[in-house]
Amino acid sequence: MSKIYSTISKIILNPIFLGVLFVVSILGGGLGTALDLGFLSAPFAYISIPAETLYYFKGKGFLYEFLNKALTNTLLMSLLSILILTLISRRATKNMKVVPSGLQNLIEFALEAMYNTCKKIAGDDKGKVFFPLVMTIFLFVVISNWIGVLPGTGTIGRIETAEEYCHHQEEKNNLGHDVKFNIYKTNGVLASTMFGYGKTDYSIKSSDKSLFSDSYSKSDSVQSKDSHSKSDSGHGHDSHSGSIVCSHHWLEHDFVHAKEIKAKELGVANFDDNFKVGILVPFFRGTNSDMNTTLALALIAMVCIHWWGFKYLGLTGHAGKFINFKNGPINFFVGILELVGEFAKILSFTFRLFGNIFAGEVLLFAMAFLLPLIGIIPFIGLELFVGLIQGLIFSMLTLVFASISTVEHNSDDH
Amino acid sequence: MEGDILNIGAGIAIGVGAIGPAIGIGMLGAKAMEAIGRNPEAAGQIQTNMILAIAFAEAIAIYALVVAILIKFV
Repeated sequence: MSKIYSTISKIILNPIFLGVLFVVSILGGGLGTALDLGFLSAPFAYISIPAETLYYFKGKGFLYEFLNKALTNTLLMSLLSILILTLISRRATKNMKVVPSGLQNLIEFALEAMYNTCKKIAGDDKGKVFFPLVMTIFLFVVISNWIGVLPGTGTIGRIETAEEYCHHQEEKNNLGHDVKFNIYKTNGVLASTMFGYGKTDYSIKSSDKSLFSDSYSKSDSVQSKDSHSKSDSGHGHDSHSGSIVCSHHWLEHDFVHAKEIKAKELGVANFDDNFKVGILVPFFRGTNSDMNTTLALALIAMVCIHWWGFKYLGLTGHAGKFINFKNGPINFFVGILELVGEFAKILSFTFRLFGNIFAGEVLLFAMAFLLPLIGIIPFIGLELFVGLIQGLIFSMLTLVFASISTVEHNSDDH
Repeated sequence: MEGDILNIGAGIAIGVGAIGPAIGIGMLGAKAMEAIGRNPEAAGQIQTNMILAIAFAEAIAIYALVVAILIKFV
């Protein structure tokens, strides 16, 4: 058995094998499409800043109110990470021993390290008070970042067809975007970027009218706005894409038509119903790549920080840092600046975590697109590290801000 | 045409915006290494403070990133 393993590892670590893999992945990826190769390339994932909606709740039940009418993929992921944390802590505390071993040992090590840091930075008394929030933020951010880089997140999902997409955008009054739809193969429920037709010329832009020009002129459901755009179709079609994309009659005919054209290009007789034109809506997406999650975390942290400020310094003591009439006009303006700074803290908390995780996701997409087989591997390692560091930074900043906010501010000292 | 200019703008936004934080983080790292070299016993404390300071420097780059994302996608 061990012999097989050693042969396998010899093959994998063979420099010639690695070199061939590298060349194949370069030629097969997004770079190879320039040379008419690109046999491995998947379509570049559709990058959306708001979390994609998996399911719209109908009616007026509890879920409808609680989840704000829709279940998004980032919400699903955060529920999953809460579940994972709960299960881990259940496992770790099931058979607690005086001399810990295994999982209990690991958890105790992590908790103790953070507990000591809290006590060192905030002092023994306050450290005990701050510790639960700081550790909770750390664990939640780290676990949700780590499950966000698991293979399958962001790449497996269902296809939201172009019609559905435009319908939802129309509901949100958010039309006029230039979205690139791809053709995906799906079995009805599941789809993956791997089964999309990735070469750049197989995708259709929602504002790409040249593809639809045939049935476009034939269709008699076109409204007055469209006839206007027909007259000056020679210049600038971007400005009209909004009114055109939302026209449903147009869509139903023309995406079928577009599929036929693409089928001809691909040399397939015809696309059946398993091929759909649309964008991939992944089932899972990293929790912190949704700005709502990071804003919620930032608000929780800042509210707690100021709660502790009022608790330790009293109402006048803490508010006096920001609205300060005692020491002349300069200190008054310094106080106002500090008040603005508190809001800037919320913003920087939000955008630091969101920016890092979102950029990491886009980086992974880009590498999977450029170097399909191996390009993603070092960057997954990088993302795991970034996830840990961001969790550490979020919790450490909470701790430091909390300890600053609970200390009497004395302008005579300096 | 408009899209091309937007792409260039997004590239410039993050590219130029990352210069300052990069210099800042480099200086922070260098000074922290120097400090650890002078006083190895304080390594833990220096590291914590260094990570905090790097987080503040990095926040500027994140603002640039957000602007770039806004230009590109919104």
